[in-house]
Amino acid sequence: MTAPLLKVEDLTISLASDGGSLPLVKSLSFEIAAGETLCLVGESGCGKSLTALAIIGLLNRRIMRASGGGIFFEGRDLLSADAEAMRRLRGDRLAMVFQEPMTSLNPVQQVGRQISEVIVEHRGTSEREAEREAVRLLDLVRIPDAARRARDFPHQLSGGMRQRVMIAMALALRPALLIADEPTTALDVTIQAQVLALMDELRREFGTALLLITHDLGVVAEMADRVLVLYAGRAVEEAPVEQLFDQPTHPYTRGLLDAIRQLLKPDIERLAEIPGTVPVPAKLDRGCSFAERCGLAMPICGEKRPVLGPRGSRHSAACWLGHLPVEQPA
Amino acid sequence: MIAYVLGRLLAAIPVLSAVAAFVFLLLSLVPGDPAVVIAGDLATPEQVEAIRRSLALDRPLVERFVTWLGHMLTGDFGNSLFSGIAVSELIVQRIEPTLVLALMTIVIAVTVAVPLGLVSAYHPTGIVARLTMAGAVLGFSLPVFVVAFGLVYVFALGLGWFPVQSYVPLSEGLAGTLHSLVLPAVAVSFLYIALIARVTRAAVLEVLREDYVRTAHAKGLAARLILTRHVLRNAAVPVITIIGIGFAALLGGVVVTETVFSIPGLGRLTADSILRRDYPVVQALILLFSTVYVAVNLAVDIAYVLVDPRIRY
Ligand SMILES: Nc1ncnc2c1ncn2[C@@H]1O[C@H](COP(=O)(O)OP(=O)(O)O)[C@@H](O)[C@H]1O
Ligand SMILES: [Mg+2]
Repeated sequence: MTAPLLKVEDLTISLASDGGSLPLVKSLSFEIAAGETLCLVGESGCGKSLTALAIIGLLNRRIMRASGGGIFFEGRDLLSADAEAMRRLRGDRLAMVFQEPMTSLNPVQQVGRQISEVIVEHRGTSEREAEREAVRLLDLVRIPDAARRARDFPHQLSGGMRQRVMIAMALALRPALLIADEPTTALDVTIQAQVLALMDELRREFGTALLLITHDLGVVAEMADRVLVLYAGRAVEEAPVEQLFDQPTHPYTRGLLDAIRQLLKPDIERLAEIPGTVPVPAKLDRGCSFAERCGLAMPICGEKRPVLGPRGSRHSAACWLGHLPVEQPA
Repeated sequence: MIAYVLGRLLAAIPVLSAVAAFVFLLLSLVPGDPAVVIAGDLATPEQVEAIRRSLALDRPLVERFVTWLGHMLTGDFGNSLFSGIAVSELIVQRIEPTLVLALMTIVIAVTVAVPLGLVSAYHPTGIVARLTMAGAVLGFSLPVFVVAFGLVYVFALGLGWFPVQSYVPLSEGLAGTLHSLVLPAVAVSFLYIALIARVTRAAVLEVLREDYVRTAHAKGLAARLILTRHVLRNAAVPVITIIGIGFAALLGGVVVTETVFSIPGLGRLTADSILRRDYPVVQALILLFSTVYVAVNLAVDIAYVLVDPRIRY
């Protein structure tokens, strides 16, 4: 197998505070192959957005610190790349679509211009040529009457159209990797599927890999090749999408899946929610972070942290169930 | 847009009418006999009587107001009680230095303050930010005459680069005029640099937190482009407001500077006329300044519409 497009190795993201640093994402490792879609799932606050921002180099440097083995993208380590090198990659090889289409576009700039300026910046093409390309891209994301719409300001477009503009902007230079952070969460349910399908269609056409962040397992089933489940800043399970849905091994993953399955049955009134809440990040954490909420917790779960271990080919989970501690400690 | 401007101009009529009524009543509300007050302690009864007649103070209030308003509307502001010269002519003579000084001051202030505010916000802990904020405190607290005397001492008396005092009118060439106003303009600009830099910094700090700025970074745009094209434009509304207010305040607040630098402008005329109780001139000046405030306000509102497409008119 050739080297993966993206290889995140032992990534830790910490909030720098007065008395030291508070880890919010801990020892996270994963890979994405060229053209592949990896879904990052987990409850709100588990560190999905921070992971995305660390990859694209947009963490708030004043308070957040990314460290660890490295973030290798197309053979180079983004963790140690300088600001100028990162800037050249962003928007070109590496692009991102954010959650809020209402606020993610510049309100005082025409949308066509917001697309064309990426092209001008990275390709040095003339404004006119870039503008024509922007119209073509707007057409590609099915904005009707693209040439006229290109001169609209964001407030003149609907939420779905704005997010399609964001997608056109992100895919303008056919990046190798697109990061989409809950790209449809803020949209009307009726158009969510439409926008996702469009994004998927285009990224396939362009050969772009996708890191899709979502907490919607319906979206995962639709879009993912592989899934990485995050809990309180750590990876708890990783598997190809069919395996994850067929044989979830981590109790947290099973809880998530049960919740959605019940949602699909109309006769059940209440969701089987996972009891409890995500623990607040603390400097000192012993054992499995999920132990407090886990119905299957054993004494060891509060003592030692389970590491990610194999559960079949390309499937791994961090749980003491079916994985008794042999030698290594927390 | 044209309809909007016309609408705004119409809306200014009640405001200016209220000011006119106030200006008119100013004289009538003076306790005692206005003619005596205007004439001063040393006036003879004949002089008082002359003033009373020239101001038609023997007529009923309403009649006087209507007559006076009619004169105002036709551009007749009466004559100066002091020099006998027509008020409109006095103002025309004095308006040029004040206008040039105000424009020059605001241009200097904006050119210096906006970049300082922008950089201070972008690198909040950097050297530029520290110096700007410290300088702003200084700019706010140093009285104009102190700055003015300091500048005169160094650049006029010491280095001899600029004249100590004296205004060169525009009719003798723009370069000469500008040269003669450098020191006063710089002196007055201190306060406005402080004001505009602080407002710019605050507005930019706010915009920097916006999602679309993160988007601009995600597009890999150069920092300079992000600041000028995306950030500054979005921070423009408060900055334009403060520039507008600053300009209006400048026109009204040049008394000290004009006195220190001996510039024959409106500020000096205002001060002199008040001291001489030259009511017709004072009335006309108040009306003029009010009109300028209204006009600046309108210009600011039009600028809003131009920078932000979401603002509807
Ligand atoms: N700017 C910040 N300051 C302090 N804490 C933050 C900041 N951004 C994120 N966090 C914390 O980091 C954790 C992970 O956040 P995030 O990655 O945004 O979660 P999500 O999985 O919902 O995208 C959360 O507990 C959040 O409170
Ligand atoms: Mg998030």
